[in-house]
Amino acid sequence: MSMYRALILTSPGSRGEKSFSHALKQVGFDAEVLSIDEAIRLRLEQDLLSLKYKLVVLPGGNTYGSVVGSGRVLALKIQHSLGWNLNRFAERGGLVMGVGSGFETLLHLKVFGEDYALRLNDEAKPQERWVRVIPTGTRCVWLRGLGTMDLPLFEQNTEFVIDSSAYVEAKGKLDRLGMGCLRGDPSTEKTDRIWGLCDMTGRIFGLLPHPEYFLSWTNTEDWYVNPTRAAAPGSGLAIFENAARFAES
Amino acid sequence: MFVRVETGYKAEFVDPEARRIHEKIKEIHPQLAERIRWIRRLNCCWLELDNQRDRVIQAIQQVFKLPVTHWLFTGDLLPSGAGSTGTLQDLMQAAPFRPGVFHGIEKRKRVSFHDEEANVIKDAVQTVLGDVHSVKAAITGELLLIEGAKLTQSDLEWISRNWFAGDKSESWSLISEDELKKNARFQGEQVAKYLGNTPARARSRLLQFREMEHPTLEGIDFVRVQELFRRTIPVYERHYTQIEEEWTLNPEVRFASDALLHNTRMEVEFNLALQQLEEMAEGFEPKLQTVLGVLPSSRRVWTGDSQGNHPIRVKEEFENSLQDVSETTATPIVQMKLYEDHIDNDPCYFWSTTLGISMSKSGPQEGNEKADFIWIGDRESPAYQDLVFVEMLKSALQYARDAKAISYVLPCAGLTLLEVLKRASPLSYGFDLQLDGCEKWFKAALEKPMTLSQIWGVRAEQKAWLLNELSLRGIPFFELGNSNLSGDVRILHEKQVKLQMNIHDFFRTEPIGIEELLLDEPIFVPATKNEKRVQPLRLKNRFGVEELLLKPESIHTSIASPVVLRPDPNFWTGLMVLSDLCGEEFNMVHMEYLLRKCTALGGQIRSMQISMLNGLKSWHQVIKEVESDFGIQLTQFEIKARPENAAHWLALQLVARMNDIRNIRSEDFKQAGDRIYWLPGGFDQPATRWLAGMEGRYQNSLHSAIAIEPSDYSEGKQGMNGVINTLTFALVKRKLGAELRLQHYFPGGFFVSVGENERYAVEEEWAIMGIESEWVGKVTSTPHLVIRDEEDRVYTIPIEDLV
Repeated sequence: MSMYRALILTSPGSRGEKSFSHALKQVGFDAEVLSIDEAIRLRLEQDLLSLKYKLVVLPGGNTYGSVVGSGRVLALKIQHSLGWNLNRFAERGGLVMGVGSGFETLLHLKVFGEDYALRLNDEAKPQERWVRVIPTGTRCVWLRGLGTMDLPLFEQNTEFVIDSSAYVEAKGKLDRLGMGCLRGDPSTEKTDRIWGLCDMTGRIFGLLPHPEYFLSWTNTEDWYVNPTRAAAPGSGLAIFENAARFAES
Repeated sequence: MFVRVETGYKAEFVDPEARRIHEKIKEIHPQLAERIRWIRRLNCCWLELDNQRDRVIQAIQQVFKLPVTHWLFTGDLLPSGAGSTGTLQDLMQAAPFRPGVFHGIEKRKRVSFHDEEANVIKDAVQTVLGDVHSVKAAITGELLLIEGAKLTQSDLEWISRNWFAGDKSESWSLISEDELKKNARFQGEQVAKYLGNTPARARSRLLQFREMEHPTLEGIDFVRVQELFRRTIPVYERHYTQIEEEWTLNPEVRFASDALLHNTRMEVEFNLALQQLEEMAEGFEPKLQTVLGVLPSSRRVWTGDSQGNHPIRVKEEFENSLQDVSETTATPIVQMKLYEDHIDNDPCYFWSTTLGISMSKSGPQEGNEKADFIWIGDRESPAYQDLVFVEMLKSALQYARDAKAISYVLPCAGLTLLEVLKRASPLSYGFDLQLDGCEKWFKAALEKPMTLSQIWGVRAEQKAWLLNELSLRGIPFFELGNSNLSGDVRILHEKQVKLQMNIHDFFRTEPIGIEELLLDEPIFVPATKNEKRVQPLRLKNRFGVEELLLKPESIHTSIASPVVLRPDPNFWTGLMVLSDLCGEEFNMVHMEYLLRKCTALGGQIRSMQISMLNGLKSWHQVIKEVESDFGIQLTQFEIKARPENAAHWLALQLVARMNDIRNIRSEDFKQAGDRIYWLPGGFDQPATRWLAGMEGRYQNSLHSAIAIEPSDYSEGKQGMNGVINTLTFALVKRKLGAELRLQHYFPGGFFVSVGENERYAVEEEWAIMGIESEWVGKVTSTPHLVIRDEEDRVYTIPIEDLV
């Protein structure tokens, strides 16, 4: 069991850091929760980050009230106040996960490229539901060996969009390089929907569903219907186990 | 640097937030929702930034630009922020009905309210710029872009209040399509206004008053204050041995000396002023007496926390004492000038008081005999060759300006007199010329260009002082005439009218357009009944139709309160304007606007009366200037309220003549289906304060912006005929009728009409403010009055019969 350190970077309005902490500790990480203001105060810059931590998590939520775009202000703070380059962090073997608003932060930081974004779709209502997602490709280290799974969603009804002015090139890049690593189940959704992206190294992973809220079957709605499965691990935990496995390797 | 930023979804995406607003409207008001064919929402932000322009541009791009999903509009700051034109037109092209009729509703957080979004944006911009002091101010808001050909202003106001900006912490405004297509709203001045850097403080007058009570005294240069005072404020003393005319022509003038400033105690100055007042009341009858200027030295202005020396308190005490004397001795105070503040925008911390006391028992004189503009120069020799004279003239001009004795200066060199008068905007409403003693010069000036000389517009109360100053300096001058608002040019010789004609005919100007003609009625009608006019008068009018009748708040929200119409038993019609004092900025432009609004409604002012006032502001000067500059007589000048810790406001009654009530152009019932309410009147009633715009915020929701005061009803039983007459007065213009329930006696009050959409908001505000209201009927489309009396009998009277 590894004891690599993981950083959970919170910001005003973010949520789920305790679940992340619980999940990461379960799979063997030494998880530390740190707010962005505290990180700035401690001058946790790029080199120190690579030195201290193996994994960085950007939780979801309503960071900074989603003013000027969800995750936008956090991205500006990471870029200008901390001076992080997460692509370089990943190249040195680090792992990064952004969930929900954290995923948007990664998009604003352009770790996947400049042509991708999330937007509220036409029925922009808050929703809490389960989505069935299918890992595709082999690039993403977080999803290796995983099959179709259900994950909880606590988001406004957002959708992944590609810049129309460079659509063909950007879409081709996703498909060709296997960056669109988490997709919707075509049997339950009308369109080919992308739920998660990874970068070229496969170590930076952003997704809309929340794996940290599905660590055991007791997180599901039907565990009491099928109580024999109550002690079984959830699909979300498998994602974090992959991260621990990669860190050990 | 002031910046406005707008962000919104690109045209290719559906705007879910706007769609949600549309759905809400559809649930409550489906008819209105049908009229909305397309809707978009943009986030707005107003920023004041203290940094270099290129860095600001960079920061705005990094913070606000979401290139994949959003467009960014910043006016000329980032010209390629969106689409092909970089303006909202790019977004408008996405509307399904093109070219379409577009409307904008903008809301923004009020400056004094907490704005968390603005704080986050401040934080973000400061993060990018790396400077925690780079953002001076920020507020956020939204812009709703709506397309719909059948939408009315009333609809948009309903949307604003109920679904878009109903919160009391936000203010909203409607934006026309033209304005949306232009980039004027991005200009620095406009942004600065929203950020509270300009005196757009109409709704926070009470806050202003509190500011006055806690002046900031840091950084005051008292030496400079004293110098300023010595230089600008002359102190007059009455000379008992001189008769009135002598004093007027040659007053003894001296300036506040160092001795007065440093050695005279405050109490002595008080006593001196009061003693003079009492003595004058006993036996003397000077026409004009300016008594005293008071400026305490620095050690007496403020000595820490001792409240007795607080300048505001001393000023109040002084003013109250003078008013007491005035009341006990029946001596009217015609001018009380208080210099409160404003040296380099510092809050008030010193004052001086100049008193003028008229003991004339006969009241204001008839006619306009006071000359208020004078010609300065040398009528015989080429004075421009004399450099000494030029320097003297410049010095005298500066001196007069510093003393605020002149209101305008017209250069005459190289022009004929006619050209000078024609170009002079202060004289555009009419003027009188006096030829006594200068016939020869007058003839020459009309024919040949004049030499170096000027025409000064002199304030009446400082005329004597100024003339004396000019005499002492050896500068030749003579009185040329006076301006007024009659619309006529009169040439007088030996107090006889030699020529009287319309000002446009006098200058042979071209006829003006019909729309302007409607608004260019003469403001002032001389009080003499026998005086006949040669032909219809036409006057220049600086205000537009929209400003006067449609969007009065574009001039100043404080004077946008409804005009109250009042039937007069002698002249049958009258006009009354209720107003507050626009905070500190009540000036002659506002006064002229109020007068012009009356004429725009179809009346010509006979006289003006101040019925009610309150507050500490130095607006007496403005009131006085109405008489001296415009030639309108103040029939009464009565102070009914002592200065209090309350908003500054003023009620003016402008008695006007209207030849035919069919000529009333606005302020009438405008639409069938409007509900009519009665509100109790009286100056102490909350309804009056509400109508005057002092409290509340839905005055402009009065659908037809009408209020009628049925107080003059001498005929009929218990004033019922008066009520009917006033309602007829409001209905005749648009050939509408009304169904009324007049089941009891109506004391003085107001009838107001409210549209169906606005009634809930208005009624709620009335309930909150404790305004009693009674529904009395509704406006109908047929021109009949259907009245149901207290015994449930129904009368139907055609409006035409009543007219």
